[in-house]
Amino acid sequence: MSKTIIKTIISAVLVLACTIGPIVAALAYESSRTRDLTAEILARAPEKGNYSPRFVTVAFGQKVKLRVRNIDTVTHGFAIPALEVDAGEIKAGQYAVLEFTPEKPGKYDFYCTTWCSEFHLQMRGILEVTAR
Amino acid sequence: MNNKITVAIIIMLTLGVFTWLANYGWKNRYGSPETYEVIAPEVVTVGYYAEDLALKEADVFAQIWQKLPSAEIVLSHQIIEQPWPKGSTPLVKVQAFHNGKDIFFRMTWNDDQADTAVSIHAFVDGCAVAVPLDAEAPVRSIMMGFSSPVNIWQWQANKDMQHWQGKTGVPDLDVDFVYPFEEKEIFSVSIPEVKSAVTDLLAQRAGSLTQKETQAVQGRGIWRNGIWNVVFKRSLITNDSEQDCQFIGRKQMAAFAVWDGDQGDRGSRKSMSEWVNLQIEPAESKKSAENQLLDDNNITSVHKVSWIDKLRSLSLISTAYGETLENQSVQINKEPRLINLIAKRFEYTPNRISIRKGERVTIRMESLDVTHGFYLDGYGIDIKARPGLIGKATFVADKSGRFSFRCSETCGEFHPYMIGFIEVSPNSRFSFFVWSIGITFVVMLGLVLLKGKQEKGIETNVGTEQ
Amino acid sequence: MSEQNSKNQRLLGLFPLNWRFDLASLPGVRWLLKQRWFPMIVILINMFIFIVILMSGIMGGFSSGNYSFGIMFVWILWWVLLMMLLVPVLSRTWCMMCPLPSFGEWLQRLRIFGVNNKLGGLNLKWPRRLSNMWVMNFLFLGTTFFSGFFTVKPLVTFYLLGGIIVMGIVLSLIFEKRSFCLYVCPVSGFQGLYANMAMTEIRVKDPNICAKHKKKTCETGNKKGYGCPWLLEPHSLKRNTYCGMCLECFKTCPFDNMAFNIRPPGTDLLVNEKRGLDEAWKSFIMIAIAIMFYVAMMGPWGWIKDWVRGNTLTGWLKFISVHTAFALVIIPGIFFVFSFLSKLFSGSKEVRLKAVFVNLSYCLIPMGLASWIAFSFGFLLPNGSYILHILSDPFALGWDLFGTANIPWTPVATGWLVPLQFITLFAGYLVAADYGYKLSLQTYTDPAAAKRGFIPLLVLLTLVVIAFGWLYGG
Ligand code: SF4
Ligand SMILES: [Cu+2]
Ligand SMILES: [Cu+2]
Repeated sequence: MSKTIIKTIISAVLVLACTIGPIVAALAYESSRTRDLTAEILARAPEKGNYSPRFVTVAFGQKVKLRVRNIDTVTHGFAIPALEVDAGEIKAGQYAVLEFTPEKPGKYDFYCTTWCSEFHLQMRGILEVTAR
Repeated sequence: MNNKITVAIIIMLTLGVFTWLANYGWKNRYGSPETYEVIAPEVVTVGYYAEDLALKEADVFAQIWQKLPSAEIVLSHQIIEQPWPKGSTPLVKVQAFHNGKDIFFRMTWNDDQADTAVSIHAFVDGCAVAVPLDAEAPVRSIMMGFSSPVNIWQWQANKDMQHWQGKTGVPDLDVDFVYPFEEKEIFSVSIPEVKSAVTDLLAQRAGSLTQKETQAVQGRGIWRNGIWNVVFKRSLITNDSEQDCQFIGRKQMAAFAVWDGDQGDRGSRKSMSEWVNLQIEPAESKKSAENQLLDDNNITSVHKVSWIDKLRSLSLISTAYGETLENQSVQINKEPRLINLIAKRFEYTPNRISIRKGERVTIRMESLDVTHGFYLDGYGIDIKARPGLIGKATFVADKSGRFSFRCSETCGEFHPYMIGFIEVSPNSRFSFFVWSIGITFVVMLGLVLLKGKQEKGIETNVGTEQ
Repeated sequence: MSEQNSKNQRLLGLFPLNWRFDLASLPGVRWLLKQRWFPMIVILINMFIFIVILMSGIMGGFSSGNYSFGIMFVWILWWVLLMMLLVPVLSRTWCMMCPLPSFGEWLQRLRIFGVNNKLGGLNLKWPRRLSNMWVMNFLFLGTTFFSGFFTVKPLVTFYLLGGIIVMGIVLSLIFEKRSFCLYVCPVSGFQGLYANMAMTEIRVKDPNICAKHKKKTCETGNKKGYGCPWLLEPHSLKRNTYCGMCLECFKTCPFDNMAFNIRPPGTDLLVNEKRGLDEAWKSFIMIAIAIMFYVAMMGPWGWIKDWVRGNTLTGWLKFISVHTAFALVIIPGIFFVFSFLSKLFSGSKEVRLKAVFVNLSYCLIPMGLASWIAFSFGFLLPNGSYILHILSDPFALGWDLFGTANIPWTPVATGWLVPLQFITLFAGYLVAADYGYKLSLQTYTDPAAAKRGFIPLLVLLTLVVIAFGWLYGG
């Protein structure tokens, strides 16, 4: 009797581990990795949706940690010229993590730095540093 | 009955879950559901007004500018090439008209301080209008200067001072306009005699920015109440259509740039716009003249090609253009044969290259859209061509056979399939293959035909069930 | 009986075709094959991998395929493994460990490891008229219409695999046992066809034992295992084509009469059982697809790529009509001409043309398989290094699980690509010609007629192999 129960439990555990398991594990691992990010910005060519989000607000005086993830099929870039922040080329499927502390509040434009589409010049967004 | 219901429920559930997942995936196919409406190019109407401006001080604020509509054009940091500007001028207002003879542009933008003198640490304000020579060139490529050379009219505040007010600044220090893909800023001694506040330039691509011999543009700028007002004037057509853009048809394109001296802008550090469409309204009584102009255009377009060639020969590579070298008598150890490759999504032109074994070749690749690469199987050569820049590699074709070259920079969905063939002749590998097949064929045929009689007992119907 | 007849036949005049070695006679192997947990544990491992693939598909959307776990795993690793190793060597071993129909099967059985021969679901019989390869032929051909999407867009790979799983669940609930695998699954058809070439097989050891065993537990099932889920009669199994190698017969046979044989490649080609136009067309379709894939994916012609990736709808429609005509009409047409010539040359009156056409088409199987293996090298060598990247970063989220995420794209031994393809094609040609001759002997009762009838076939095979060689490296 108890043998069948043990068998049932083992098979249930195995099946769950192989079906739901990877999903739960992946989500948990990813959330632990992104806990300290201020924001994640997805980089896509303008006709595919542009940066997402295109408006990022951060509080003044705090360290900003951005992750820019290129989920597109072409190389993009990311730079905030006024803050001298530059991620360089971010190739398709790659990402960049940027850490910096803005020195004064204000609105800063960020841009794609690699020619990525005929609408490349529209690939831009705003980082707003708000005073408390 | 019960069974059927259970089955139906499970099927519905399965289909439901799959549909939901499929829909979720579709909505997030670009990572997030957030979308963006691409902004169509701005339109600047160039109306016809029978008015002439001599570019006196008052002309910058002439009555006509008050009634002309103005287009607000968004500028962004020039950021494709280092160095970048620190600040930016977010917006410039552009107005334009023509009087059948000349075309006028007025650019106005906010600048809290007029910087009119150059020194080691101070830079001047300025602005520029860029117009492609070929009005029909596809937008994406003019920016990178491939399909068409571009005229750039650059107004600079210090030259304005010298030209209109006779003031001289530091005469020998000047920063030229730098096209976005210029590798470095060019500090050059300024032209000794300033004939105009506007420098008239021609650009084809990186390294090919040249000052034209004939300076066809006049301009004047006045700073008043924290606003720069700059007027450009040029005749609609010139007699040098190889070097000057011609305003003939209804359409043209233009791009605008602004330098803010106290922010350290110079050279490539500037704010710039996307390409803007100019809509040129015809003058009523100019039918015949227009026809004549069109004729002119036809003639000049022939010349244009030769001009492109001239530019090509000017820039980057001293040898002539690839096709001309494709004659058979190229020999080893001489100048490598030049092969011009154009890469665009997802094809190379030419897509099949044949070279002879032992030949030395230079692959020179440029891209028409995004960054592409070139990896040659078997040789391991890897080139990268960013838009506007050229990738090059020289090698000796010492292995014969057909090799694929493939894109090595992810450039779009079909990137893994972006492939071309290089055939290093003689293709001895293929000949060997064909010969082996041929010999095998003959041997087998011989075996079958000759052996036929002696064999008696090969069982038939090996696996057939009787 | 067939065993006795083929005794004299040798592959390429060297390897006796009736040579067998029973792997299960090795110590421990039969024990393993008889364990209830055995293939299931492998299925569960593959289930894990396929869940990751599906996840990466949903999350990957339309992002770059070469950095997507799903795309790379399925189309570089799995497909290439199927073509180069699993099918040509191990027959349908993939079906043994395939997780795609498992949900459906679990629902039928309501057990995972255990045995329950009272299967749930509606258990309907699959319609007789569809009991052949035609459904799979059309489904597989239809699937390749979208090859410009699912080999580059992770989400579309999800749609494809997810669709197969859903179809598996639904059909398993309606029809009995593995009807889905037998008659619908698009991957099944070519595996079945090319499994004829495999170097392994599951057969009975001694038919006499089966003849005496009245209960035939391998068909009906018993406490140890299920009756053949693939609706076969394991006791008289002759061909690999429809055997999914689920190993249930090892468990149900009370006399340990099943054998897992190693054998010379391709002996099933000579087994005249269930031959038909459906399998012939499968052969044609596979060859057509190999050509089309090469032209579209590894050829230099951009306009074809624009057609295939659906740049414009009309272009894509042109592609599917050309492709369909090529696979269903042109290639069979060419083959028809040559089988007609074969009959003409042979001078045989009593053999029907249809029999010639069907029988001889089986010699295209080694040729087709070789062309696919050669094609797969073109994926494996240049792009294999992506596998290392996606193992470490399966969801393109910047992970680095095994420290290989930063390995850049490194083509391997690409100088050897074309020679390898040539060698494969040459080997395929030899085997195809050899079996072509044997098939010809089998078809025409008179050996002299068979020899004459073989000549057009040999010419055709030579032309085909040279055409492939030219395409791959000429
Ligand atoms: S039980 Fe049937 S399907 Fe399974 S291996 Fe045996 S013959 Fe094949
Ligand atoms: Cu971009
Ligand atoms: Cu490319």
